[in-house]
Amino acid sequence: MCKFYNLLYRLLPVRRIQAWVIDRHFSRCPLCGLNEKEGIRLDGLVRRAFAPHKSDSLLWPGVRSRMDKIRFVGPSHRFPLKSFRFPAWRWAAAGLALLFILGLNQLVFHPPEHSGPAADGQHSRVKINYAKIKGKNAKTHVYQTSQRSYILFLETDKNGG
Amino acid sequence: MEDNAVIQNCLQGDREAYGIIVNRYRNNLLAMARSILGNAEEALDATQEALLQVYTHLDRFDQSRNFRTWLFSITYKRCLDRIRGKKTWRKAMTELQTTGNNPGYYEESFPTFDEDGPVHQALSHLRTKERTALVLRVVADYSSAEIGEILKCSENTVRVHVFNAKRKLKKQLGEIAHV
Repeated sequence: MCKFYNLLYRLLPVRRIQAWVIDRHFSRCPLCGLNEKEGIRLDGLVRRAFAPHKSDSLLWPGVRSRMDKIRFVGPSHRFPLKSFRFPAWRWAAAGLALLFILGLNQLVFHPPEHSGPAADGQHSRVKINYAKIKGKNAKTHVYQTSQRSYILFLETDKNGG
Repeated sequence: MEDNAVIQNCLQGDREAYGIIVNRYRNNLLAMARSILGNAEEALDATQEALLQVYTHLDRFDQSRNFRTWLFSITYKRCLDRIRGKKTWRKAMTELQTTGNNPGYYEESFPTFDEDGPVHQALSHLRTKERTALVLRVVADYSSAEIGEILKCSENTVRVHVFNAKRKLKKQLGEIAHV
């Protein structure tokens, strides 16, 4: 019976008054006394088995020497400045990317006018007010070549319309 | 000086202050590590790693919590990582060398203690959590609540671990004495 109570006492949390009553029983009961002595003996064996080792003193020197290699992150540096540090090669890469985007933009949205029909008379160097073939009005097309010379096309119906 | 005051000094850049913490918990930390790993040298190495990990993350520590349990739980995890690493390596080597089954060999770690003697021999038959709970209770004299926080289990589970550890230890020591 004592063994059963002992087991419960070890496993379950008890109130102080209950613990006092149980401890009082243990101190009086010869069987429980033996168990208690055995427990104390075991505790002593475990303590001796894990007594400080001769190499324990090396712990702090070992930690201290490795601490120097670590960059300590204190509360004042909670948000490290690392993210704001932008290496030079990144700046260069960003600059190149910006130039590329600007160049692409220029090519796509503002292509150079090498050749093709002149947009209208105002933007062209050549201004033709009208053209007539056999007395009939004709459509005019002015082309600028890459050599900056102009080709003039006149267009009219066969019937002269 | 209390732990939190020492931590404040460390956070202000006083590296030597951390020595107070290390020397304060040195014996108990190493006892726990040795109980898990079984080897004094490896325990020393694992504890050093844990202490460095704690130091680098000291600014993240919530000072309303118990520093001691935080420190011990990190060391405990470090030691378990070492066991897992060793197991994976051992498993790979065994698979290469043998073709037969080896049931339950990797289920639980039974470290070979580098110190001879009946107590170490008996302790090697205990489960890792049982051994750790026993050492933290008997050697470090920590409460069940603290041990539960370190081992990530309830107070009652800690009591069961300690009880089982003592029961097994008694049995093993009896068997060893009769041989």
